[in-house]
Amino acid sequence: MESLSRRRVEQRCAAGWRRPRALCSAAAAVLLLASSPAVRAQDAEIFFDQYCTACHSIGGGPFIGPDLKDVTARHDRAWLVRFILDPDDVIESGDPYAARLVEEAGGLVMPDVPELTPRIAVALLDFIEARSRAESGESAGGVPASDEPFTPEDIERGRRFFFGEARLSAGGAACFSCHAVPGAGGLGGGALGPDLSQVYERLQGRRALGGWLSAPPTPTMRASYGLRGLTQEEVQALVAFFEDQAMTGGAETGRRSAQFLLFGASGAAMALFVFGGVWRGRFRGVRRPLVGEARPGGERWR
Amino acid sequence: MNLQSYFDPLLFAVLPYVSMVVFLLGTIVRYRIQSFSYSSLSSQFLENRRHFWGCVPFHYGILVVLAGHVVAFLMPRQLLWWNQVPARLYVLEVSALAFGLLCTAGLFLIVARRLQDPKVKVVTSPADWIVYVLLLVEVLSGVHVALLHPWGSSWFAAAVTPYLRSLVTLTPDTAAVAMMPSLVKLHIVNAYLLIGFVPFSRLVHVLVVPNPYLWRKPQVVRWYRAPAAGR
Repeated sequence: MESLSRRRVEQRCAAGWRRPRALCSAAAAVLLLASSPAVRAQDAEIFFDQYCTACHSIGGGPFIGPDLKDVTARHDRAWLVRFILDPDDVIESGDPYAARLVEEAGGLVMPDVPELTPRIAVALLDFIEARSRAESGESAGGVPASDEPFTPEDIERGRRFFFGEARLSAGGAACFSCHAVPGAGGLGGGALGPDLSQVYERLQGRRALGGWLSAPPTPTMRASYGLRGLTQEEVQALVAFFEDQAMTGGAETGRRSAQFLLFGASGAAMALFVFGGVWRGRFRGVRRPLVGEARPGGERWR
Repeated sequence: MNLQSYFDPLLFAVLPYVSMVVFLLGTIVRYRIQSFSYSSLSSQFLENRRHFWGCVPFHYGILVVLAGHVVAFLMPRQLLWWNQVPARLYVLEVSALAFGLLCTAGLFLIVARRLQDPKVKVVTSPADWIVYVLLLVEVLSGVHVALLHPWGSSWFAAAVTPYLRSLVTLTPDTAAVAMMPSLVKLHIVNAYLLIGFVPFSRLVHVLVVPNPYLWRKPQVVRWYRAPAAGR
């Protein structure tokens, strides 16, 4: 099993001297690796299941990201550690291999995982290497395997989950709290997260979308659904809904910010009206005459 | 590692504790050594025409919006249950936006009055202006977040409450807020600055609000001077 060698990292650093951020990342990786105890293989497996299976398999074929079987044979470990720790940095440096990965993923960039440390990255590579040698392939959990068309009931169930009309069993927030899709009624969906109008196409179909929903890799989604994960049935229903959206939905996102502002402003105006009414007689009976009398010439104070 | 990854822990895991320590120690120390200044200096708030339309909407607006934040922090599950029905979520969000707008409009009037009214100008200190700048940033960013990143009542309960609770349990987990839009981050950081500035400003009055005034019997204050004597 190959381990990250200091010399190779140094060679990479020397090659990348024009890119100080990349240099810092690699140097930090070396320093932390030298001073940190090893991560247990079980921990790496748990980490992989929690953070990586949404987009990657080991021998199960590509999802959103590439199949990681034999990844350590395809590229050297120093590069892989650097990419895992800060994909944006490597992509921005103009690295051709990273650019190809982004292109293959339809323009999606691997999200930063703040919990990742250099030693976890190395342990992950060890785990992937060991798993690559095993006979059976790995695939993401909770992915609808069937290619059978979804029933209208599946789609309706997904729609109800999306809009919060049916509660997610673990108590997670309804999708429309943060996301918009076409055809939303009322004031439309939320806008903290991305518009999900094209999510089915963006994630390239059922399998990757199902994997993503089963183990969302972004920190915001993990904070919201980490302890309130979706069940396989909920994932299936949502995939059905998004697939149906992809086939029938338009480009209109269903967000109505202007209406929202108008309603809010009307509410504020109503409140001002109420304040004016409630305090209409404020001080009128007692204070103003008193103040008026006290002023020279009896003038009324404003 | 980008610049943000160095600043995020500082802003979201260190600053909140610094501001809370400054708030707690500062308010206690000020109460002990400057108890007579422990309130807002007069802003002539009994002045009835102009200040009414600034002071009242601002205070009711900020009290309701602040209460909403506290509810989302203390009862996220109940809030998510309420927001489960879209119509209920819309009612909550529109009401919150209405009070946010009231607060914003009131604050602008208050600031304008302080700039123009000579009686108020003489009792205005630099600390007041710092408070106004912090409040304006807080309130404007809050309204912008509500408009640009709906629906905050749900995502606050789902993503921000776990972060705030991680601070309370002394195990700060900044992963979720680190990924929030810049406007949300500005709102959060500015709130910490505002909390930290409380002991040095008129904002201490929130700790000594004379609540019994709400239910005590009315008192009429009279001058002993005869009106004919004039001034």
